[in-house]
Amino acid sequence: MTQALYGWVNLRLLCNRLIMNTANAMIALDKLSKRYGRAPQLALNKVSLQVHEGEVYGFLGANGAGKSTTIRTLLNFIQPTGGSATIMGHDIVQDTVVVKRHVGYLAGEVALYGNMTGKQFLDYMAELQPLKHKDYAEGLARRFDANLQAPIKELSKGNRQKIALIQAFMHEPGVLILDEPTSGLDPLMQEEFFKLVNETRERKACMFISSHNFSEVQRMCDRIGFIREGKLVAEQTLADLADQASHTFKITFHDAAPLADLKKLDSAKITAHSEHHLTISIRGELQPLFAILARHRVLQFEQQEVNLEQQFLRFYRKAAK
Amino acid sequence: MIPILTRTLWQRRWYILWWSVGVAAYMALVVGVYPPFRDQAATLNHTFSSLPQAAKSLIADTNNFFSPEGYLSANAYYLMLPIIFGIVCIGLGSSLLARDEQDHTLELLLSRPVSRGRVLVARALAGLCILAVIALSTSAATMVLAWLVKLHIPLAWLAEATVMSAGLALIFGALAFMFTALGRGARAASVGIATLLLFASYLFTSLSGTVHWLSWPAKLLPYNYYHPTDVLAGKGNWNEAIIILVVVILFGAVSYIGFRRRDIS
Repeated sequence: MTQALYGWVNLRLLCNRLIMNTANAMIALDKLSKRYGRAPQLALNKVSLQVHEGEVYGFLGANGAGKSTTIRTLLNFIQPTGGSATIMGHDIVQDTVVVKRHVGYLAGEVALYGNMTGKQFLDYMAELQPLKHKDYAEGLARRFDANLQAPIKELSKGNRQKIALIQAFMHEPGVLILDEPTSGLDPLMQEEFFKLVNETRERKACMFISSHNFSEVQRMCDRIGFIREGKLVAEQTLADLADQASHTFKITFHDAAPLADLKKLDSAKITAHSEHHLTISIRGELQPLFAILARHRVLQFEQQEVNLEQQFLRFYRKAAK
Repeated sequence: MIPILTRTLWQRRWYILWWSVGVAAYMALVVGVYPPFRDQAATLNHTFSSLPQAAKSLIADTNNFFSPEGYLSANAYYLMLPIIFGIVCIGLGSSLLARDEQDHTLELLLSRPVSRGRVLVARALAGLCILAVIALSTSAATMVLAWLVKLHIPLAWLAEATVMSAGLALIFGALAFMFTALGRGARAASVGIATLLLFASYLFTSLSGTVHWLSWPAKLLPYNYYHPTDVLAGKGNWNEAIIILVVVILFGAVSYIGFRRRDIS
């Protein structure tokens, strides 16, 4: 009896937690699906995910995996075939106009009005969605060093991208949906963009970022979703990813590298070696590696960063099997 | 909605200017060269009377080609003006929404808190404004030249005929607009189908007096309700104007309903 009561209380707590999670979610997808015309396969297959206040969510997937379909469905450019989604608690289909009061959007392939100058374009966008602080938009233009006087059609891809970024951020939305945001930006501007993302996170806005650039995602995002053939195949925090990822070390020995001993280690793979150097990738417990190293004179020991790209490929291969 | 309307008009300012100048110049030319024809009206009418009825009905909706209203109808209002306005309207109808969709700039508008319905209405109103400006300049040029060459048709009837001509063309523009509102990538089809309907409508109606089996399908086509010579003679039929208006509103309503829920490409 006590056990049953305990179980019931636990169940209630779990349900409450789930409800709270959904309620706090700024973006919430519930089995969202999309089929194009009579295509046999769903382009988006019951995708459920949530993005919370102040969170930066990276959305990774190969070309045609369903990233753009997800974004375009969220913005109601295309109609979902099944499931539902909300942004800041408003249904993306029924309340699409209300939803867009809270959203800043950057398209993957930036298309602006070529005959307008940057200033005319931003003024037009501001007429359609009034700015909270005019000086914020001006500040964005200054920090991105955007050319607002020339016709947009005369600008380079990078300069057009800056204007597109400004229009997405300038009304200080609570939710930002960004498709390949740093595409075409030079390293200095990329750095400025990362700062902007951090500032936006600090004001509790959430960001949903689709990207192919692993280092960019690794640098900005708190959580990452992997999509493959329209299905969300994995969703992890960056910390979880680091735990699960294989750790790669570059080691230099005073004497000959103990190749034979290291090859005996479980879950270890030597990816490169010479007489005194080797590179080893190891997953799980590191103690056996250190036990071997303790018996040798190590001159240099260097850990490489977690490689998100490898993780991405691992998820994809696993899902393919 | 107002910003979309005003920006669309601003973006098309040169289009409006050159079409207004071009159509007004054409009408000025047609009306300006009327006096020599007026002086020889009896002779010319006699010569033209020997033409077969089928040929005459392709030129105008009258047999008296050199009376003031017959001359204007044969040289402008029956065929040329509807074609010119038709090109304007079909061009606008097929591009006001579709060009933005093709260029992916429609997404920019729809990512702002503006409903699809408002975007569609703003673009349709922009099209109407453009047509109105062109029709107004056409009317103005016609009226001024008619007064100068003493072409004895009241200015109100000239204006009414221009409005009817623009209204007829508006049907084909609204049809093109409806196709682009309903379907992705329908721009080419909208131009093709609307143009085909414009010319088929003209041919069916013009030839229905000679080729009798055409008379029934002609009743379903817009040209059947367009009689510019009657309008220029002060015998315009308001029911015909209402039919044209109803068809335009119907196409507009279908566009509105269809565009609100369809996928944007």
